[in-house]
Amino acid sequence: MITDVGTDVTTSVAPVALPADRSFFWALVALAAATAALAVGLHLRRGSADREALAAVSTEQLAVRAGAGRDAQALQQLRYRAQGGAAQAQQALGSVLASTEGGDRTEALQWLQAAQQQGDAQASYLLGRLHLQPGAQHDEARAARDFERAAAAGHAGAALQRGLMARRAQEPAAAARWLAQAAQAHDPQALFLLANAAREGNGVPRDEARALTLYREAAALEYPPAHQALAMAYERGELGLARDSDQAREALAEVAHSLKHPPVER
Amino acid sequence: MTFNRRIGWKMGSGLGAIALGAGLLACGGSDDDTPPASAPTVAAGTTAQLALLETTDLHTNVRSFDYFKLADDSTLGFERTSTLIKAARAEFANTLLVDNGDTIQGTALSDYQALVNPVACTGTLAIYKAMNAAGYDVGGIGNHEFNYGLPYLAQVTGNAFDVDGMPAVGTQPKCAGPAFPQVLANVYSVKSKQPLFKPYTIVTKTLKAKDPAGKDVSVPVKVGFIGFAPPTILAWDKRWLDGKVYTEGVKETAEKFIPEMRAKGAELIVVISHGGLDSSAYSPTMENGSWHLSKVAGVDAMLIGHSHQIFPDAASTVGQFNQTGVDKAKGTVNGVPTVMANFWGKHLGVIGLNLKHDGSKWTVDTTKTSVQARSTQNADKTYVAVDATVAPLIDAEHQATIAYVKTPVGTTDFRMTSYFADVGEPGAIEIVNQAQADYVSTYIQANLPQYKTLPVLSVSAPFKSGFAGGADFTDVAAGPLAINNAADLYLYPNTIHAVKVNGADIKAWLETAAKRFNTINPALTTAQELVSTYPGYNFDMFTSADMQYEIDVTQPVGSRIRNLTYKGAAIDAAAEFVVATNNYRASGGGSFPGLDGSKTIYASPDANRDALIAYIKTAKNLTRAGNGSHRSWHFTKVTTAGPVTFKSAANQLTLAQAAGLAGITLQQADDGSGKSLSVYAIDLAQ
Repeated sequence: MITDVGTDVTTSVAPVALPADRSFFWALVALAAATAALAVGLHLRRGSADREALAAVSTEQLAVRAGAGRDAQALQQLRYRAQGGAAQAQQALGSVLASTEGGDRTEALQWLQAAQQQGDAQASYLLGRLHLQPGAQHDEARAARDFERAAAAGHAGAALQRGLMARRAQEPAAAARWLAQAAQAHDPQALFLLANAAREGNGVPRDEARALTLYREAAALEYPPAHQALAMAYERGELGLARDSDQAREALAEVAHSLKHPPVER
Repeated sequence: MTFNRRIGWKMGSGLGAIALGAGLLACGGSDDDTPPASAPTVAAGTTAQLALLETTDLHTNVRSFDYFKLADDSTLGFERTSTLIKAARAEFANTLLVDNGDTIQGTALSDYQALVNPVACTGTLAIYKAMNAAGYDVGGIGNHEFNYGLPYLAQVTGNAFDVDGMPAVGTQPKCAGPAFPQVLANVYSVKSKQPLFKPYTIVTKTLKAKDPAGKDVSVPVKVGFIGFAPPTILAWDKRWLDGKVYTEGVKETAEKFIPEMRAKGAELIVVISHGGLDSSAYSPTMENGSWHLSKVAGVDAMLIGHSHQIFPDAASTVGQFNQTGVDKAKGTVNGVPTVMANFWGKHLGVIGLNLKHDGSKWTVDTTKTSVQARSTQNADKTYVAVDATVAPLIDAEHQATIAYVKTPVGTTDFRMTSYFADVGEPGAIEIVNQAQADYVSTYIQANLPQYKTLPVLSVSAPFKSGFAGGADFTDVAAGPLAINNAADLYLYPNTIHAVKVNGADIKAWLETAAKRFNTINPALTTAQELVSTYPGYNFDMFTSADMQYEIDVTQPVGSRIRNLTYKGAAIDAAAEFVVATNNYRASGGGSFPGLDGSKTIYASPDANRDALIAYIKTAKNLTRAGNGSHRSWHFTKVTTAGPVTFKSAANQLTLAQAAGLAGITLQQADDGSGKSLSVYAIDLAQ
């Protein structure tokens, strides 16, 4: 039932500031390549047991160790794999560098672009996020293309983000199409926003039954606003529901609970 | 309660053989057993039945009690689950009782013990007291265990954590934890690169079994338990965990430890996974890894949780139970018997295993396995009786929590009500806006320098505005304000969110809120109802002298907001503001234009209600002048030929007058609905 898209929750990207000066940027890219080469050298000098143990670790897990785990060896192994040309490692290294304090943001961008060129959907998604942030790299048109590229490869988060861009551009029908694509892949935020759209007839035909189904699916994924929408609907007898204060109370309790673990931004 | 208890463990390598004998209660520290030198022999062909009993997501609901309503609630509570546990123990010759996690957080009781009057190092948490008495064999650790931070978790579980920000392990006090081992295999210390908890434990259980001749015998089985929490804790509790712990993927972790557990003599492997089922491509960071855990070699049963759902349930429409490999009727995941026992003690999970010994080890006759999630609700919708032994165990904590909820945190010199909020009375709303604005403003000054220069405003709505009748309004009496009044003043369990918007967004926001009103035709001589069916909880309003606007109810929806000013000057459509609101609104709840989560600059983990309590504690004495009289909006003045009416609670006209509202009159003392409502009129020309 749950498709294999958009489940990567490896990293959340913190706001980054990238230098405005492009030549400075490419100088840093060169520096990054040199650093990577140095990393290879260090890698070769390390104990073979360590190396073998790390070699068996998945790239995604290495990214957790390098990021949340603050593990320099894991970061080095990630760099080694990225330098070796593995798209997933380039993406993972880029996202780790972009999201950790003191990470080299410029190098992050370089690795993400390298991964994107190899067709890595998560890299395209992350680049889209970066291109939406304020700063020199801000480029809405590029962000839209990044998201479209990732969404075409089945990335639910990218479809959601592209849908949010369409909403901001006052294109409700296009927004609803993107949200539907993300909702199809069980993205809770997309399910909720699409439910709102169906309830209001905003970009899609007004359809309360569909809205209810979508709210319920988002609630089953523990999306707090969906529980709250259901609570209010039960309280007032909206969306075709019979008034039921017990159900309303239960749904409100689920709001409190699910708010402790809202969906993790991809 | 004493039968079928855990039999004991080897307490250390020097202590020799495993202690045997029913009723012996071993305390703590049982992991990493090596096979005993003289393991008792079991005859080939010996059979036994062993039931694994699961609770999950109890969230400190010991009593069947709602601490917000301060009333009994028979739909939940361990005191009823305990009745199911006793019944299962009477039914099965051998049982092992296991909790899945999300145990220590979730009610006013847990907040009281963690934050208000923290449990002492020597003390035991109320929920653990109840669980100790019930004779739990093993506990897992869920994501909510991390909600109060690592030092608290270390203390209440009786652990020392070797993590940054805590004293050296040797200098941490040895505090009382629960009397059963707790396991968690996939959360690691950044500092030590070792698991934070014991990853697994091996429980030696003496079984009441039948030998090949059918004779009753007592023989041991070694059951290994390994625990998992969702890797997403790193995001959810980042403020506590960042730089201190990291996670390993559940699948890799299981593949690493399960062979080790087998090598140490575990004959059965039970996975305690605080996560649901997700059959999408495996990732070491996926939230719900239990489907993939079922595929790891050697897993005999899974006790899962986290999703607050019931499994097995043949009728379930829940997506995760309708995936490939999941048999929602039988209760198996890729053939592995699996149970999820709902939440708050509403259900007990029961996996009945039929064991057969082949002379060297126990095996499970999988054709005879039964899996059930048993409800505390009977077929006739009543609930099983409470186990009367539970409540006395935690009565002191229960009463202290009730007293805490009733504790005055401040006073108010005016009655705070929403009876006339629809016509501009801010008495129950301004305090919420003040608390929200103060919270967000303080946070921005400290943490978000890029927004420091932006004005911070706040909106809130009359959540209770008479939909269900005259009693469905906020009404807090003048005098002392207690914690539970915060729930009266702020109905929803939301968290504070701050959004960055511009002047045009604010106007669109208020235009949407103004749907609360019907369009009034001034020429009509007949009575017109002012208030539409648009819900009061969406009637967001500012309540500050700085922000001023008019609502012109003679205009159609979308064209009603006039003379919108900030500090006396018309608001520029491009001018930026920060608006404090709640997670629901900021995420798109109510479909306000432009609000869909993407304008959120701060998603606080703190509840609006808690910010309100904190604000009242600081302000101490609330006054009408300071906290309940600032209107941001008025109706655009218009003379109407006929009366403009609205309904509110019966006999409250004096409140409108006390609040200084002009032009309100009583039209009809009883509106005829039988819901204690009166019909009032407002003179829009005043």
